[in-house]
Amino acid sequence: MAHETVTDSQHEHQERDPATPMVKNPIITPGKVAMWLFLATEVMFFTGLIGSYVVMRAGSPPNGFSSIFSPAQPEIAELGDAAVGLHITDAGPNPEKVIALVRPLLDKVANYAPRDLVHLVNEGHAIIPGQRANVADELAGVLRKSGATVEELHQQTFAWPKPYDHTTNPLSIDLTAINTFILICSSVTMVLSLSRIQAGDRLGMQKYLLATVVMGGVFLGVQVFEYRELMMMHVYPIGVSNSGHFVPGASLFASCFFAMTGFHGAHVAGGLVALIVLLIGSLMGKFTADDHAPLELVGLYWHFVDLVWILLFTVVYLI
Amino acid sequence: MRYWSLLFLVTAALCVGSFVYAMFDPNWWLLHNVSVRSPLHFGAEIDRLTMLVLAITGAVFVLTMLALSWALWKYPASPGRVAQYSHGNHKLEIVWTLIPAVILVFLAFYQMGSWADIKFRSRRPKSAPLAQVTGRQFNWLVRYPGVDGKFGTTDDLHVINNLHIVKDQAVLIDLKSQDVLHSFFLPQIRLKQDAVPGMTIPVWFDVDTPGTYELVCAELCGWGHYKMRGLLTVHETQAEFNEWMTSALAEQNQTQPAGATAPDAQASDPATTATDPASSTVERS
Amino acid sequence: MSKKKSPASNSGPESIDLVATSHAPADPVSPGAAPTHQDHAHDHHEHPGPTNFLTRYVFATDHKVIGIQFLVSGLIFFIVGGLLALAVRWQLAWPWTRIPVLSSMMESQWQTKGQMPPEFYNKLFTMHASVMIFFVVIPILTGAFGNYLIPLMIGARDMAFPKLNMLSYWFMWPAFIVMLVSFTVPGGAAEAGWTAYPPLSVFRHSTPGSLNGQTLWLMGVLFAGVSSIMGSINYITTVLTLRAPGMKMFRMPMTVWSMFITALLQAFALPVLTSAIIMQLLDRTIGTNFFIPVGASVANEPGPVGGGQPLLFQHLFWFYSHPAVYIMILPAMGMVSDILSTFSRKPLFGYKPMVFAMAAIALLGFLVWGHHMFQSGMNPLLGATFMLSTMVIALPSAIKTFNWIGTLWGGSIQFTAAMLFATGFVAMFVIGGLSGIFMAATPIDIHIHDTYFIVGHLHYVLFGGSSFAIFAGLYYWFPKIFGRMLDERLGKIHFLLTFISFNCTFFLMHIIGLRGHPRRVANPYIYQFLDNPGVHFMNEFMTVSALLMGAAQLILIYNVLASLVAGKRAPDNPWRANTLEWATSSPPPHHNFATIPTVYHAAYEYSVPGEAEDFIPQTQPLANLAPSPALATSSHA
Ligand code: HEA
Ligand code: HEA
Ligand code: CUA
Ligand SMILES: [Cu+2]
Repeated sequence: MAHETVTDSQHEHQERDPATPMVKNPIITPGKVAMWLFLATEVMFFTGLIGSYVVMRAGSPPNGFSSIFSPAQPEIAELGDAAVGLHITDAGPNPEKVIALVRPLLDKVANYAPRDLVHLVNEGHAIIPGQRANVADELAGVLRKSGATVEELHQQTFAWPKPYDHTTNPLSIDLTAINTFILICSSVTMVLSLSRIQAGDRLGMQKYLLATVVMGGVFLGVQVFEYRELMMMHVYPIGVSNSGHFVPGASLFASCFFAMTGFHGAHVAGGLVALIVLLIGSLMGKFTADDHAPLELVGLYWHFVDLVWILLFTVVYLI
Repeated sequence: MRYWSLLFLVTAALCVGSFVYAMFDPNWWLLHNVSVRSPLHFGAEIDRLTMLVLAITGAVFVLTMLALSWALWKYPASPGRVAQYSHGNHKLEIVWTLIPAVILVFLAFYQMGSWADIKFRSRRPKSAPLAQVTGRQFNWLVRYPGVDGKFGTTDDLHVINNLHIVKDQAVLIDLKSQDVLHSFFLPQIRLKQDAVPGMTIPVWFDVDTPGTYELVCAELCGWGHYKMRGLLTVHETQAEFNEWMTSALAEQNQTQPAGATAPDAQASDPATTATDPASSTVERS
Repeated sequence: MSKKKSPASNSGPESIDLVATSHAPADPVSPGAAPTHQDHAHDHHEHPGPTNFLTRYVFATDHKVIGIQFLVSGLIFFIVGGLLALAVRWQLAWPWTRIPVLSSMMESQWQTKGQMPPEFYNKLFTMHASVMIFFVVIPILTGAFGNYLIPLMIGARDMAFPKLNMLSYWFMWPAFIVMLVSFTVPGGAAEAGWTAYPPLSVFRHSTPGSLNGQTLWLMGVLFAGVSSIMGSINYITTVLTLRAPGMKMFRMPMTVWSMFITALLQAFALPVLTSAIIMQLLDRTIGTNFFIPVGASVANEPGPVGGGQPLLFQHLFWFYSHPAVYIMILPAMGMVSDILSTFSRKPLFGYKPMVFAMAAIALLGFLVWGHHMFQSGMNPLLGATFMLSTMVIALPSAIKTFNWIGTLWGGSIQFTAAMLFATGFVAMFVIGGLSGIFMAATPIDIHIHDTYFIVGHLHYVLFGGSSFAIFAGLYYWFPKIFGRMLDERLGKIHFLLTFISFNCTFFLMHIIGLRGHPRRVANPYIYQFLDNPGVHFMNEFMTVSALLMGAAQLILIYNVLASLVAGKRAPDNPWRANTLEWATSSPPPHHNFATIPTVYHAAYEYSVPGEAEDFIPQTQPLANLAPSPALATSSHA
């Protein structure tokens, strides 16, 4: 092992480009400078995305995020700010009665009816899209009498989807929390992998690198699964999407969700490719205790991607 | 070849000269300002500031160009001439940093008051808006609240590309857009404000002379942007304005049974659809 | 990392004769002074620069070849962008008349007796500005001059990452192609202006150019942006790590400083544009709602769900594009500083203040973006703060201007073509900068926003500023780049005609703009207040001048082509300048320097009293120097 190390470092020495840097300090090798700069550009890129998210969320009109007051609905276009929607948060002891009351209304907006009713039965809550205020008031009264808990949603009071509120927010926080944990673990194994090679233990480094790759892969897999669920498998109530599926065009919330997690996912994928290249390289005999700059750089990138995810998870899922 | 310095000198002189000429040619210069003697007189304020900045920048321009030309004239290479050897001068640096700094910061603070008067939402007239002006490819839809004083009711008056107001009255307008960005630009009042879909932006101004003035769309809004022209008519008295209002309402009721919805949906230029290359398929996700 | 680097050799003797010119250094350089650590000439590595045509000139990793590639494509696009501008001008002077050549070409598509349709006008200025900014000025300033000069001026053999450098150029090609192709897709090229404000740019049916052209435009800008990001990372790394021995940061020429600061600016601003562009692209393609407000729709279609904010795009766009205008002026300022100093035979006046002013412009540049949005519906309170920051940013520019004049003052001025363009730059930048003061003043901007006053401003800073500096740089470094001298007489004629016709074209825009002439209108005479003899005269005068300005550029084209073929051979240091690029042959050999030079002092030691020559190359120790802090060096000869 020790012998190998020496030859490798000599080789590296010989290969050095004649454009020798004036700065001989190994802490600022061109590679590291460039990697930090690259990360700075990435930080700015995600600042653009996350900053936009914050601005849109804070500054959008209250009716901005979802399809409850969809401008595509002719009544809403006519009623403008006067429309009121109803949010049945709990069907109460007598769901059949509530359903019977709600059905004719939902039938009016035909394509929403079945899935909202299903949702009402399964989960005990539902959204009734924008109505004339007096009609909505009346209905709310009747529903309350039959034991349901009803919230009136004015265009002006309505806010961004809340976590765990499944009538408006389809995201599964539990699944993603696990996924987040996996990604954090992969960062840990990345650190371990680096420390193994610094100790000259290439085999250990390979093991940890493999673990990192696997966990990164799992993370990505789960994300793909989540996308599939959201976009194709499930039919959500009107509060989530007009069309029933949670697709990028469903609402501003959906747009932000897909753009941000999508770009993060792309970064994870890029990182995975780099990790796999490193792994293959190391299997072919690259990297020693003194020569593992690429590992360090990719590790830096991987931690960055991890950090961004923690931010995204907090901002998009949790708050 | 010190004569090159003359090129710079002459150019500077011509630049200044063209401004001086322009001021005396009404076909070239700023339009006649009709927001001067009115109570708000924003137009006069803006012209005054323009002239102030013109004077300051003009002086700075003349001085720098004189210095430049002089240096070129005085110090051309010639046999035996050796340039001065100097890496700079701290005192000079400080002087020519401080003086512009004072001028610039003064300019910024000096203008804040006018800016606040013209644009700060807190300064808008307390009266109810006179009209809603909505930009739409490629027309200005003007909507008066009608007799009941409320927008969105059936007695609203809808006019296209015509805004009527009364002389010397500070009018408040709600500016909106239905589709893309437009900009409400009244060059003779020195007023400009973008119309943004999804926002209602208050705009207030007044005019001191009755007449008809052109309303320009100053924000690129598509292929017909150039022809999105409206008119602002200023009436001498309230009575005259009311008269116009009554007759316009009568005309509207004639062509359209009372209670019909706004003509907005039909207001589009027929050419819009003609030139639009797109098929009419509705694209929604 | 270093293992991956260019396999190309270090300086074998064969590699020098890229072009057979005299490469004996004109100035006695004592290579003995160079530290030893850099010369590991291992025989098994030595071979000349790539001999294969493809690797040598097309997929080249040599920073000089890449610089030339950027230069050539930039100049070609300059012609394209200029011709688009001429069509714009033609329409403004003589609306709806037949345009020579263009009308006949488009006859079959327009079906209007050769009149351009109004949307075509919008395409013209949109593509004119996009081409000029993204394909001409930025690539030439940073891509061409930055690439060519940074390694030479700091005494490096190449960029830190030659392959990344190559990639950076080749990423421009998808952008070129996509932009040019966009003219031919259904609906034609983009027409939302170079600012691409949504929702016009997002609704596909809002205007013909938004149907497909806008998507291609966005992709083009995206590619150009990625290319710039790669370049900037490379430049920063190179400047930080590859300087020759003795080349301290505060010995670097202004050109290198400016490229360095510009690269930082790009690295931090461009990603934000990238995110904005991507969001707009997603809005257009997969139906997201970032920039579509609730309830907006065009062409009587039901709109999408909406909820987004059009103004957000403007904020993001200007957060990049205001720094971008400084990206387009800082390298110009750096180059002009070097040229002024050389031809005044005088040290640059206030070297450190100049560097700090540049850094201040870059920093403040991030705080003023809102001055493009005073009338946009943004909170007017913000407008007031942006007015203040914008006024403040004029200050470092003032410092620079006065220092340039200070450099000329007391010099021994040589009126070469490069010098004339550099001086022209100073004068024109003052005009452009001062008109910026009007717009920075929010109340005045109410009237002049989106009028020709803005168009006047931006051409004074972008043509009179950036482009004049490009010309100056071209005349100055052409001998180094191509080993041939440009014809000075033609160069001076070119300057004279360009300078005059430039001012004739753009100065009246201030006046016509004050009158209220809106920008981006295909036919201003729809408005009565513009349909008068004065405005007609001004517009026609500007158009004729613009045509002349275009014709004047033919002189440059001729000069460049003729000199390439039959120009006088350039000596190594024709201008008797100090900086390192003149210490190697013209053109430089494959790896720039036979031995890496050692630097003894800052770049501006001209007319040092007591020296035999009026210039002292940076590679040469000063003999009798009164010690000055900027110059202090332990190794006097
Ligand atoms: C190279 C490009 C460049 C440069 C350097 C600048 C420099 C400046 N610009 Fe400009 N600008 C553009 C390119 C540039 N700009 C473009 C392309 C647009 C239009 C975009 C579009 O909408 O399409 C624009 C638009 C623009 C606007 C928006 C106008 C509007 O749309 O309503 C404003 C507003 O404040 C502005 C201001 C300034 C200022 C204050 C400076 C300052 O940095 C100038 C500083 C320089 C000086 C002031 C001169 C030298 C100083 C002195 C001689 C000293 C003394 C001076 C005084 C005491 C006054 N610019
Ligand atoms: C670096 C940037 C740059 C440069 C160099 C130019 C150069 C020119 N520009 Fe441009 N321009 C912009 C950047 C630039 N412009 C921007 C950012 C806008 C705003 C766009 C927007 O609103 O979105 C704009 C907008 C703009 C307008 C306003 C359009 C409108 O608002 O309606 C006009 C109108 O006159 C114009 C004209 C010109 C002219 C005549 C030139 C001339 O200087 C060009 C001269 C050069 C040539 C002509 C090339 C050389 C050609 C040859 C050598 C071939 C032979 C020539 C002949 C046979 C004649 N430009
Ligand atoms: Cu409406 Cu331009
Ligand atoms: Cu700006």
